[in-house]
Amino acid sequence: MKNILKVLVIGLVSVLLVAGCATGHKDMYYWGEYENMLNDMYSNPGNTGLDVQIEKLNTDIQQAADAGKLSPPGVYAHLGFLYASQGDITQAKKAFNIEKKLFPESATFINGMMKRAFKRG
Amino acid sequence: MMQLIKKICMSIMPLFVIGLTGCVTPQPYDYTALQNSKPRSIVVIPPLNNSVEVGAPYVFLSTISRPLAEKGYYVFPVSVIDNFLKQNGLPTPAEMNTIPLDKIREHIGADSVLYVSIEEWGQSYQLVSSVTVVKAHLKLVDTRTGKLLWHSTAFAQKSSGDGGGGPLGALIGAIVEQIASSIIDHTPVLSRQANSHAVFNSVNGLLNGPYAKPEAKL
Repeated sequence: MKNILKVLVIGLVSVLLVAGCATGHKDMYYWGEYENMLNDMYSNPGNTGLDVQIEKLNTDIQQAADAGKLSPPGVYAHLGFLYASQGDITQAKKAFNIEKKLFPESATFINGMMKRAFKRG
Repeated sequence: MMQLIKKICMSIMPLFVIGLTGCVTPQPYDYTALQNSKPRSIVVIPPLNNSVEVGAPYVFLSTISRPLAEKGYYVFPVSVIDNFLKQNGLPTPAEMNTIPLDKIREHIGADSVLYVSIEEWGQSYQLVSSVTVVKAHLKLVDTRTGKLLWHSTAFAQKSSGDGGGGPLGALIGAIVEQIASSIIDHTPVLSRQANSHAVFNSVNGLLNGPYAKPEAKL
């Protein structure tokens, strides 16, 4: 009896592993328009200038908050980079600092970007 | 009698699982290097391009962040990294792929770097069918030691439908698909599928990164 139980458990676990292999994954982050935007930047650069990108990212960030989800790695950093490119130091710093807070792994890169972006200030 | 049943079940069960999945292969992936390194972050260098489609690298780049981040790694923003590399004397992916590992650590601070080379990208028109293929080699390298941590081939394809009507019908179908695909580009979707499968499959996918939720076991 115990051995049949063991076999059934192995069978069930195997089926679950199979299911895990086949089924989708539930996203941790809210991806919104981010990757479409990245694609557009290269396929349609004329339609994805700095202002367009800033608007899309801010919309995504708001929608993520509304959905109770985090924005993905890199989104705030990308936003900060856009603001810095426009010379908006305040907004750039704000976005960069959020990225560093959410993802400490970004610190070296973000600090470098801030140094380069703000030294002309 | 019980012994016999048990014996039959034990010998059939593995075959049953293998038959069901097609995900199970005889060679388990050796994750030792990846498990010893435990990288928290990944920087993706814009891909080398061995395909005939000039735009492939940047379309690919727009589909790789999501699976890596969802697997639990910090992924540096691909567009900002691309711009950074260009600003530092590396104007094309070919040059970008030569950046030394210590420079990556110093200026980007990534634990690991993903090198990509695109082997096939886009539509090929065969006689009575049309196939869109995305195929790219992926290599994850530790920036501290230079060790190979993980590698895979991301692959996905889509065939034009077989609409019936024999060989002539298939030929017409392929032509229609060819024309339609010149308007609708399937490669972004295929690239997403290819990368997602490479990262998430349970045979030789990536292991969970530091941000992965505990219940996302595979």
